[in-house]
Amino acid sequence: MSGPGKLPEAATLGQALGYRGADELVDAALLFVVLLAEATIELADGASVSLVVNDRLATVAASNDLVRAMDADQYRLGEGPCVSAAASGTLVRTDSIATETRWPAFVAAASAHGISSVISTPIAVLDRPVGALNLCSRTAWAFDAPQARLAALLASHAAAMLTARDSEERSVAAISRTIQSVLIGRHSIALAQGILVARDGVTADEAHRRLRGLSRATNTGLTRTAEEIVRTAEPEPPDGPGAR
Amino acid sequence: MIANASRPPESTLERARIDVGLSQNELWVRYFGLGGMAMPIEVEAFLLGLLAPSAHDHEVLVHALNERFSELGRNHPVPHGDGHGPTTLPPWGAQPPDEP
Repeated sequence: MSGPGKLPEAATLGQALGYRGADELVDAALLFVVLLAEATIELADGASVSLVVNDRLATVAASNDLVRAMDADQYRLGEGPCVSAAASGTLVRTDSIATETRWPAFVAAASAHGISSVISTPIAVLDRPVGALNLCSRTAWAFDAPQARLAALLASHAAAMLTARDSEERSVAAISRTIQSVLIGRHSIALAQGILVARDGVTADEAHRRLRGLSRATNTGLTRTAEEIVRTAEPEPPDGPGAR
Repeated sequence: MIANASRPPESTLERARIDVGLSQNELWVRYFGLGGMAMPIEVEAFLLGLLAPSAHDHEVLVHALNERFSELGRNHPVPHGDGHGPTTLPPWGAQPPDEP
């Protein structure tokens, strides 16, 4: 709540309509996560975040071109640790590309880039997998349990940022519903005012005053009162207790 | 134009707003929904007694506050026509009012 002498500060229509997405901020935060991952996880030669965007996986943050190319190969081939982790919501690791058999096409592409081991940690928002944090290394057996724990920690931070964006979008949806109900109420009241102006030959303010009086007298909200006036003025035969 | 924050609220409207637990923004949204035309900043000025509302705006704010009183199941409504003369009932078949 705003204090005396200050502008009203939240949830007013103008601010709701002036809302802009926080995507730039989230993207910057995700980039920070991947740079942190590459810097803190020994033997990591690249880190990235893949997210499902418009039903397709896309790299939204990458520490370098090596990991970006690895991701692109997986999206193109439809297989690989990142694709599996994002789909299954479980951690997927390959310790030695040379002996990996699960994704033959991906193995060929990754080998061409000199990648020897990969770990993909799922990112989940509201218990739903939405992507993965990926780490690659030119060294085989680069990632073991301690690296996996650190990757999971960073993935959970990435998820927290995405959850924050998600809840902001939901709050915008809630504000939109408020705007809608408020405008529907105003519309009914304006219609009812118009009916009284035409029927009784009064001013708009006087029509509003009469609506308020009727609302008080019947202990019915002003919007409901107005809706009732509109309903009874419409050509269909009224089928409930009339407002007049 | 700057009100002293430690000063108790002086307008009936502001006291009622605090009483029913609505923020100034929430009250404005309700007032706007009932057909009010003033901007949020103007309504804040009405509440703080810095600007005098028109009789119409005053009554729409009173109505918004009283609907909130009803929602809370309370029967201590804000008096109508405060400083603007009594509000009369519509002349077309309304039931007797709860309060004059």
